[in-house]
Amino acid sequence: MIIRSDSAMRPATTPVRGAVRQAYLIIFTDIEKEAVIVRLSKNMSLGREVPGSKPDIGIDSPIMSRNHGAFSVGADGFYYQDNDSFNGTFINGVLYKQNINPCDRPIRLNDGDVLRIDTHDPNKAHDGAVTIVYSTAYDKRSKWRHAKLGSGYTPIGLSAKNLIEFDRRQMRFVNADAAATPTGCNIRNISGRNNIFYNNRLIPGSVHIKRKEVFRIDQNYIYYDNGTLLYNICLVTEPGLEVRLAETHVSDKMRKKVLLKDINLNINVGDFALIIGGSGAGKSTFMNSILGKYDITGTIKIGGRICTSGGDLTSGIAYVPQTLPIRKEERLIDVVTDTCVLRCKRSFTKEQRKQFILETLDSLGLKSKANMEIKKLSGGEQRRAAIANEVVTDASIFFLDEPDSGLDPKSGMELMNNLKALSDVGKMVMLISHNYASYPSPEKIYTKVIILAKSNRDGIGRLAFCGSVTEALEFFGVTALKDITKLINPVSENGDGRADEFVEKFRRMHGYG
Amino acid sequence: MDNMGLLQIQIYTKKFFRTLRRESTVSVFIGIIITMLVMYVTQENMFKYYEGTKSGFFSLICVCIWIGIFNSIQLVCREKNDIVKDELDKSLRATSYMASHFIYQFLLCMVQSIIVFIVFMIFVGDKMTGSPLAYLITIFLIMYASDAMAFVISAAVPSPIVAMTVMPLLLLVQLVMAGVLFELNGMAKTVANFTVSKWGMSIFGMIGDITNNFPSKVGGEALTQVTEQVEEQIGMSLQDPLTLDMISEVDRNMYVNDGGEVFLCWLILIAFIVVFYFLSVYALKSTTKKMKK
Repeated sequence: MIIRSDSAMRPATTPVRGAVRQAYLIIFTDIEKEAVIVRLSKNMSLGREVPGSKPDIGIDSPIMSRNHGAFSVGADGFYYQDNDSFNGTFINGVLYKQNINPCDRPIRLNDGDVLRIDTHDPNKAHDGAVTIVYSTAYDKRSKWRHAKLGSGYTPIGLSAKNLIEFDRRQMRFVNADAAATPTGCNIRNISGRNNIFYNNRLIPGSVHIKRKEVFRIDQNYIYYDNGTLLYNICLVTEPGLEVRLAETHVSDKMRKKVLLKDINLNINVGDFALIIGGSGAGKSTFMNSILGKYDITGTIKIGGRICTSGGDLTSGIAYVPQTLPIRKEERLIDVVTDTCVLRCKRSFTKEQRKQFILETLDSLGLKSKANMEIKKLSGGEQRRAAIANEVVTDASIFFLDEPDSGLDPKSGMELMNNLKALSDVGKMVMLISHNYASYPSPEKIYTKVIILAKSNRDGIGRLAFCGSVTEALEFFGVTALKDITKLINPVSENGDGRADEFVEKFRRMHGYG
Repeated sequence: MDNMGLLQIQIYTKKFFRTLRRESTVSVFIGIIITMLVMYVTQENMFKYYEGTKSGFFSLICVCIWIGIFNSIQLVCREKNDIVKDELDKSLRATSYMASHFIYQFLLCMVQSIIVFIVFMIFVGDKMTGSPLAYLITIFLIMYASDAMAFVISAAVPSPIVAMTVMPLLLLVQLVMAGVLFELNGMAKTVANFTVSKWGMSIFGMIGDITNNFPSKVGGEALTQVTEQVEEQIGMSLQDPLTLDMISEVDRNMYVNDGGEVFLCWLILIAFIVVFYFLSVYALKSTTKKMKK
């Protein structure tokens, strides 16, 4: 596919022309490839890419005419006109073609409109069929993913149990399923919510789509071909956690004791960060500094908002301490329901809240335990119950202080997978752990590792490293994370006492301090 | 209090109904047993002699205070460090948390009061003086005020072990300050005005009108002995019987109801409950405040 446009080089925020909203074409041709995104910036022609023909948007499809159609800019938006092409253009399922339904003037496009170039067989799609979605709301930060449909109906929803799992902040309700058929795919709107569309029309019940067609759930487009779905997930890239901590201290009557110094790091949305360090390095102090439990000098920004005096636990930060802060005599469902009612900022109906809670419990493997008293759950399940109790607050940042302590490696790994799934849907998860060495492939689990070290000079905790696991191994010149703590621990604690060396190295690398 | 505060009270009251139901049932049964035991022992001289009635009331007050204190003495401190502190850090308000406890305990004390009252009526109802409803209200207020007082301790101490260590002292102060075991003078008399037991004893004495309705057993026995000795010495029977007033002026002042005093004493107990609520909120906030120094 060839796009002859300068639109890709222009900043996304630049208005197209006057009051016309910026618009995108999402072009699907091959299930194996990502959708091609074209930003409409001017009058643009659409056609087959062959020698001698140079349309602005050139698509290599045998059923497309050389000069198939044209997009034009009007005062109120974009228009499309089929240029008497051989196969014509379906717009939202309606064929516009010379001699059948001539497109004698440009048709104004609306957000979500689906243009399709295909042969006219109502039951079968041509291998070269092209589907184009016109969108004024498409988020360029979207990531495209594939999902293979299984036998029978496969669920699409808001929790990890679904084949396609959407971020809760993108949409509030999804409950659909899809099943491959010999000629295409059946889509069912199970919840009956008004957010599933086909050919820009609401699907209240179910619909059958052909191969190479697309349906939409809110602003997420799902393209089907050969038993596979291609869909976009928009990970919300709102500002994450920005820590510029000059100092954390406690003050007695007469003197001030500094506990942490010079901690500068960023945690992005979707990060799963492991905090490690020797004893007394200030791991819990670091967490508590962000939680506002210590006096600090410096700046902490959460979602771009400055929280100089520390975070506000009631606004989107969840914290799970080492001791489980839940009443174990209560049933799990009661605990999480109460928390959801009191702390979740979203507005729910009773039924929606119940669904949200059950999906949360399900995502943590606790749905079958919902009616059990917490004291009757296993240690690992109790930990997950405490996490579920925070997840239902819909927080964006999760701090966990040794959530895997006392768990066997298998339960610990399960817990890590649960937390990883949380970060995958756009949460920032930070945890302190001493058991990280027992989990295989930490580079696949954690997106970041934060290493704190106690200075040999003044005993104050400092940042020795913040980056990916692979970068950390390279930085410290070791092959496993567990070797790092030996390097930075004091000699008195059977370490190599090189904390200050690495703190200085990292400081110089990042040019602060 | 805004909507969030009210919502928290609603949620936590329900929570306490779920989590405390089992142990509340146990405490109700223990309350029945203790009341039965005490009433069995005191019933003979209660509403017969002044001293027996006074002792009976004192025992009843001890039962109410004991039940009230045991209801709540451990409730806050046992979950304060691990759970309540975390919840207060997040969004819970100490006022809502304590209010929920007070609402739950109000209902529990109501049930326990009715049971204590029924046992009381079974043992001494046939010879009782005064309004039964007034007795019920007084039993409830003594129990609930004690419950509230124990909340202050529970919110202030760091653990159940400390709470249970402090509890006997609390109980002892209440018993001594009732003015039944010892005559109170000076500082003790002033301190007694801040105890539930003193006001409870006053109310019971006033409702039963014990100084006017019942003769002193001690005085009666002493008078019989003196009369017999006098008659023996003079060798004839006395035409005018000797009289001996064994009820002290202090007791007469304390238990005489000239109208409205019972109601006033009830208000004092209600004021205690209100003050104990605010003290418990303050104690909880003080002991769970953030690590900041």
